[in-house]
Amino acid sequence: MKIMRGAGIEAGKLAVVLWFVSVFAFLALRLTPGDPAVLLLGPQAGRPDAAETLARLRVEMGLDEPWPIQYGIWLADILRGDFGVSSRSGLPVVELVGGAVPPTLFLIGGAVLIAVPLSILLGMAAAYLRNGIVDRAIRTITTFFIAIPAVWLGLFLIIIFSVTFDLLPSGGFTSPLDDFGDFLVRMVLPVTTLTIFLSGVLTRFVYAEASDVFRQDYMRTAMAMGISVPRRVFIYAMRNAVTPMITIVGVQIGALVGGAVLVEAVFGLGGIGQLLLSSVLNRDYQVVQGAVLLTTVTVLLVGYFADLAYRLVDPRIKA
Amino acid sequence: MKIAEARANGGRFGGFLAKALAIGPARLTLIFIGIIVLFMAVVPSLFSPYSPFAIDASSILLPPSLAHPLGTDETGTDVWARIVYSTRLELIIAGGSVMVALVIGLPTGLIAGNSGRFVDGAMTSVASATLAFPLVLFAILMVASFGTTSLSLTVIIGFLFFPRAFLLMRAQTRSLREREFVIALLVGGVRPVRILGLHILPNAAGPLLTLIPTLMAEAILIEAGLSYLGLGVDLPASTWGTILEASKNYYVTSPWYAVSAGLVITFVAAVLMFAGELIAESANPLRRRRRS
Repeated sequence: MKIMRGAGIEAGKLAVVLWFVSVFAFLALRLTPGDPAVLLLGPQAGRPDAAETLARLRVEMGLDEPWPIQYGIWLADILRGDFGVSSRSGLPVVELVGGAVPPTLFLIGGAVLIAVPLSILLGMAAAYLRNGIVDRAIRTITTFFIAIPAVWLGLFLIIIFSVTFDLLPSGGFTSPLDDFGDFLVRMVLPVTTLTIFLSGVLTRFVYAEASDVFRQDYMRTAMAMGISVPRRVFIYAMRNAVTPMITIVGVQIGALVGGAVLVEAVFGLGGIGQLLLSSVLNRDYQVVQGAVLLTTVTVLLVGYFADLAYRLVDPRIKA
Repeated sequence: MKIAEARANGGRFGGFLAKALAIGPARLTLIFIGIIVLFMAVVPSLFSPYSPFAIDASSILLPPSLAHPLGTDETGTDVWARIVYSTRLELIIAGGSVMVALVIGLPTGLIAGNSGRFVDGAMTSVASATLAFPLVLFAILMVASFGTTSLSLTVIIGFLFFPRAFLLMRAQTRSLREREFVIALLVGGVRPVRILGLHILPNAAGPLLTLIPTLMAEAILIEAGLSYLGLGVDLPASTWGTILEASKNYYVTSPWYAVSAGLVITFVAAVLMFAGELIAESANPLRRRRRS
């Protein structure tokens, strides 16, 4: 019951945050210089007779209305499921964002699938062998995993595996539905890049949790009772050390999307980050607003459900 | 024991040496590297005989050699010279953004930690929302909108970091204000503002000191990422990130060029992160490792 009430409060907070984000996404481009009509018209916008065309374009894009009305129209359309069309390509925003989701999603999904078990293993091992050589080695390496700029790591992997040894393609995205083999081959380097960053972050969390767990009285009791090391580490300790991972992945999903945006730029995957970057530079208001809002909704929902799952899994947390 | 012996010997330098040895090799190395990087920022000419702006058409994209330890770039400029001369702006952006984060985060955290449920809840919601938002997306939006100057980069990265300072300060304030010495001060009639500024803030300094190098490292990494997307500082200003960005077009023919800029970023970011960990260990006795 309490869990349900906590979930309700959290959902209310989520709605407020989303509203903030929608206002922010709406205002960010409008408060800064750059007229979408001028950019759309290109060099012709400089001609003396262009004023009329520009005015017509602004009306077509709905930019002649005052901001509050523009915002209201946008919000009302979204509630009806209409995210508008791109002023550049004329394509619906939902279609553009939908097309950019698969590369980003597969990149993040692949990295999470590999990094989570890897960091549990590394973090638990380092915490159990605290202060030993293995512990120091793991913690030094994972610090470097975080300290390496993701863009540079991607570039470095391309230099080694694509340029020098010609083993793997240096970029591009193929849909797994079209050619599954090619999809896998092309995802190897991007997923590796993101996995290294993510496992650096996650291992430190597991390490901190596990260090606390190993100090608990029940762990000492288990040792005194002569229970075997694997059983103590992987059953007794892991259950308590790893549950917070759900929340951590939820919290880190924002950083993960950020990392993915950079990695997909290096490998030219054509995901959400590249769509957003090009739309910002073109002042494509509708696409920027739609992409920012949809990405944030996804990120916040993942965090929300992760938190909810954590409350359900760990009985010690009271709503 | 060592320190006591050295003091007994009376030598001022001996005391200094003993203290220096007592802080351990890890800390000494980090401090040494830190001093070198600071010197690179202040007097770059000590570290490279070349000018970072010297264009030389006869030495374009040369591989590393004795004359050019990291080779030359697409205009024939020494890459090491460019890296050395970019240190200053890099540190200004990294340090400046942490300052911005602290300037926004500390007072607000202090207020939230000391406020009732409603104000605290509202402020914490804003901070968590900023934290949950994909930082790089936000930075792309802001930098592309406000322009690629070092000032806008500093302020924007700093704003992205403010929730970290805020949440830390808030948690510290909340736990400190329950402590006996604060209650004693309150009962003694000391003004709350004075307690917050003179007693709570200094006691929260330890964890905050840990945050500073960590955030600086992250600022350097975010700056590199944004630069790679073409959102770095405009020429002629230069940072490690913009050097990396320039090198990406030549990675097939001149891989050393791309590798060297990234190595410097990785090295400095790692040093800052290790520094953060060491400070955390000395600030928190529970995390301090036993010395053998």
